[in-house]
Amino acid sequence: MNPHLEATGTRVRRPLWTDRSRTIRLLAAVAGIVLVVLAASTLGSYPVELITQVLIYALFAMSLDLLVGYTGLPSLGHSAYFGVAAYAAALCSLKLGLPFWCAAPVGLLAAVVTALLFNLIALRTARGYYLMITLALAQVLWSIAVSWTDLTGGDNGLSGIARPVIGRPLEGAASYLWFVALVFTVSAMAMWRIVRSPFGQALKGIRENEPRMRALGYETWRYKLVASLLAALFAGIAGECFLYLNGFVGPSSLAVALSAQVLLMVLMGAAGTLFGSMIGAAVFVVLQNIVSSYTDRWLFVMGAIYVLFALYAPAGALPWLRERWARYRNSVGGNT
Amino acid sequence: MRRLLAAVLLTAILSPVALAQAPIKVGILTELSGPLGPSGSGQRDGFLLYLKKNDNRLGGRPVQLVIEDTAGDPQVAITKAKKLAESDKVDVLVGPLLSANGAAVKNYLVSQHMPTVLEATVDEVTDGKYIFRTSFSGNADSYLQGYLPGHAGYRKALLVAPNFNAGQTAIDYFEKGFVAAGGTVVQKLMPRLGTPDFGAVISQFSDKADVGIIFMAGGDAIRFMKTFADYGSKLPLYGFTATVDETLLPAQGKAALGFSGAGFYFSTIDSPANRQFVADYREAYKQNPAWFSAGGYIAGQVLGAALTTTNGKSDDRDALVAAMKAVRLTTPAGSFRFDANNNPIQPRYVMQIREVDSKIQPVVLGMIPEFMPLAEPPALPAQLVLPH
Amino acid sequence: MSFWLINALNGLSFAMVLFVLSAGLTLVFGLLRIINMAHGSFYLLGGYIALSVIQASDHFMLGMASACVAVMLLGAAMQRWTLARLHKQELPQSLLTLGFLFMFADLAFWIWGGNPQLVPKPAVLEGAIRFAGIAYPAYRLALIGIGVLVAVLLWALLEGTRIGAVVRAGMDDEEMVRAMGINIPLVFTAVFAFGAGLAAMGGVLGGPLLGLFPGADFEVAMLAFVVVTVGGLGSIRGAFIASLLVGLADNFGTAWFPQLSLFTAIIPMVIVLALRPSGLMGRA
Repeated sequence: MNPHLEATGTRVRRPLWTDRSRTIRLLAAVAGIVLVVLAASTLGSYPVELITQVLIYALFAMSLDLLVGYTGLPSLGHSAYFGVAAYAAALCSLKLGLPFWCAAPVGLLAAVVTALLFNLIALRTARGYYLMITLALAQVLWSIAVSWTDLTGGDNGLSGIARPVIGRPLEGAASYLWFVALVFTVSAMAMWRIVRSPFGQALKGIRENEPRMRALGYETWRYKLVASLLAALFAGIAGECFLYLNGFVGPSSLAVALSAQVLLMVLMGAAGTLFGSMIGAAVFVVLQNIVSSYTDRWLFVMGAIYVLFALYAPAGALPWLRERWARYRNSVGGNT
Repeated sequence: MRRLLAAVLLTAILSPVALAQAPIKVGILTELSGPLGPSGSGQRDGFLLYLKKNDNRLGGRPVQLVIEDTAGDPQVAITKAKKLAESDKVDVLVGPLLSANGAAVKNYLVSQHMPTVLEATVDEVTDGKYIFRTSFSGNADSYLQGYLPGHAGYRKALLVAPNFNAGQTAIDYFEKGFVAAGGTVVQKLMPRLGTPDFGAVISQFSDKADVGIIFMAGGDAIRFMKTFADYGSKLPLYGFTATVDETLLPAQGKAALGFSGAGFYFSTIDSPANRQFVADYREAYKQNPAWFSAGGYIAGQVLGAALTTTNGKSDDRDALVAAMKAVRLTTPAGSFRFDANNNPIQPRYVMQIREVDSKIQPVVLGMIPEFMPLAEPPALPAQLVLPH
Repeated sequence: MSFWLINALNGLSFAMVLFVLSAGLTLVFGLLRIINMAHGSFYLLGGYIALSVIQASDHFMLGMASACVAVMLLGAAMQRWTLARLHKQELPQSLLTLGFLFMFADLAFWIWGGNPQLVPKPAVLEGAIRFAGIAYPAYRLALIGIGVLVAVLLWALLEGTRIGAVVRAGMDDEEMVRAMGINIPLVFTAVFAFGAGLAAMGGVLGGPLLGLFPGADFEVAMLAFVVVTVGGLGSIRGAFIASLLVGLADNFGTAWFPQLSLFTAIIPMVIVLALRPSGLMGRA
């Protein structure tokens, strides 16, 4: 049994969680996103911008959840793929003048190749080391971005990257939100399919008991590598969404701080649930952009929230909410 | 009827006043947390001090402040610039100190026609129209730091700066300035930003050099100066005064003694305006102002003077930036005006770190009354004596 | 000749700082299986507390003692009341210790301000000592001695005492120790507190070299992570060897290939882990 699910106590599987209802809930989630985007479009451009960021960070966190929650590989270097994709796409459009439809795939390819190189080393290491080696490797990329100023613009980064043109230029905040919401929905559904597939089940098996999976004849190393490449692909998509949001990429997109933040989003939301990461992403964006306007001590507040979650909802926000919801239903309507 | 008439009259009389009384919204967007937190806070505090001394008004209008932290991250800086411009609808902005943040928000602010006074030193940030700088331009001041030791008679320099944008620019312009003054560069060292141990860097120093020209900042600056002193080297040091910033001197102590360089502001500048500023600042914040605090205060002076010219009007952005461009001020740092690129033209003070009354501080040895922010040999006054 | 001597001494003194910083991290991992993300915070808080005490009392040893005791108490409280509740839950532990990292960083910023500071050295160790034709900083020479002393004491404590035997047994098989009737939660708290105290000591000893400023916690944690990974998680001996390797590689690397100085600390890590996936002394 997965230790961080164990912590929620015994959760009896109810018919509520059957496959059909999962599909229904997925559709409900998509409808929810459309509603949120619609509602947001009527707000000012700043709330729209924040909701766009929540979706991008949520996508980024979900990609990390493939590793942390489903494969049991906690990474502290996930910003590497986010940043490499953004840098590569930015360089393609700035230095080579490539259009969006060429630059964006090149960026994603760069992220996947980076993941391949990193994981050839990182996946060899023993349990517990993955976190540290990914941290160190990502730090190498950050160092290059800061010091190779001719290519990367150093800590001033690269700016002036135009937003994609899809039918019409995605200039306004609202039209870009629609674009990101579309990318998010398609990516999220793809990840959902992946974790529900036999491949995803094999990943969970590796997380729970790798020696047993090996004994069953699985080449676990190959599974972990593919999971890493997929995680890098979706992280790259998130990185490019962020690139086009502000037309800017800098070393902060490769920084350890970002890797730590996205890991926190996954852990706080609930590792191994994919959609829990949305809660983590929303909390982070609210803290960084709204709480910081009211108090200089916002980092303390953020730390305290993480500590409280670790203590009182160690499995994350989503299971915690589900449990509350189940209790509420039980108290209201008996056992239905 | 009469009362109604009286009311109408009263309104008519009061309304221009009421209009002038409508607050002006000022955004402050700078580094309030992280490694540059202390500097950005100093900039904010300098600006707030100006407001406090002026009845919380700029050009007669009361000020409504919105303060945002960039957290030292350009992505955050862009998001918050959008918030200030589009959601808070600020009329003017006091902008970031970190060059990367300045560069990141520049295009957006220009597109919004946002009158901005910032302190980021990277040259590209000012646009000659909406973006103004109250600190100094990196290229010109790096050139000056290279030129001065050459002018003082040193012939062989070794250059040290951290390996990132500002450090690379510094090395380039140190060399240009030093060569223009007749010297040659014998060694360039670029340790990584955040080098934990400068022992390996300092033990490589070439013995051919007769002067070191240095740019370091923050934690690096402390470690560098301390390690340099530990090794007992006698090499004279020149360079960016950020290396021995007044906020770092308490930690560096005697290790900073003898470092020379030129800067636009030191708390030890002896002028009536500065004595008053230092006294006020100390009273408000219990510490000496540093250059970034002075820059924040000057930003207040610039906006105050420009809004006085426009009679408090800020709707016509072009008129406001024209008024900002035309300001002539006496600031704690001396006489102040802008050049065509919105770079400040103000004096440079040549200082050396010395111990006076058992207090380690920058001692001003002379001044360049009007330093043009250009990377070319500066017009030095004949009586200027440089440490050798 | 003097090039080799100076760089070797530089590397050794830096290595000893690295060792004191990382010994606690690896010890805690070895027994409690926790990767403590807030380890760098203990460095920062220890350094700051020592700084305040030294400024008030002008006494280096008093500063060191109070920093170690205060941070040990903090560590004990943190383990006893929070971490202990998440025993063997790797992911919530990361969430918790990262949360503490943010809280401590902001607390330090609040109390001590953000201007970079240095822990003052003991007065007797100011200046340089001349020998073998070179002048070398006295404090760095002392660091080499202190580092070796700490290593020897740690080794003696682990190998030669009953407590050490319990800790070593706990690293191998927690259940067995529990079955022997030993109060293992108490041992956990004590070891965590001890590890925190070592980091604080690193802050006092390394403080005069590395400095105290916002972000120093992160920089130091990165260095300690590199060392414990190269050495093998949980191995004190590995941490010692890795400290030497990283310290010397960083110094000679910077001296020989200044352009590559960004990577001199990380390249040894990548090479070692590519050859030995569990680090130099780690158990797979």
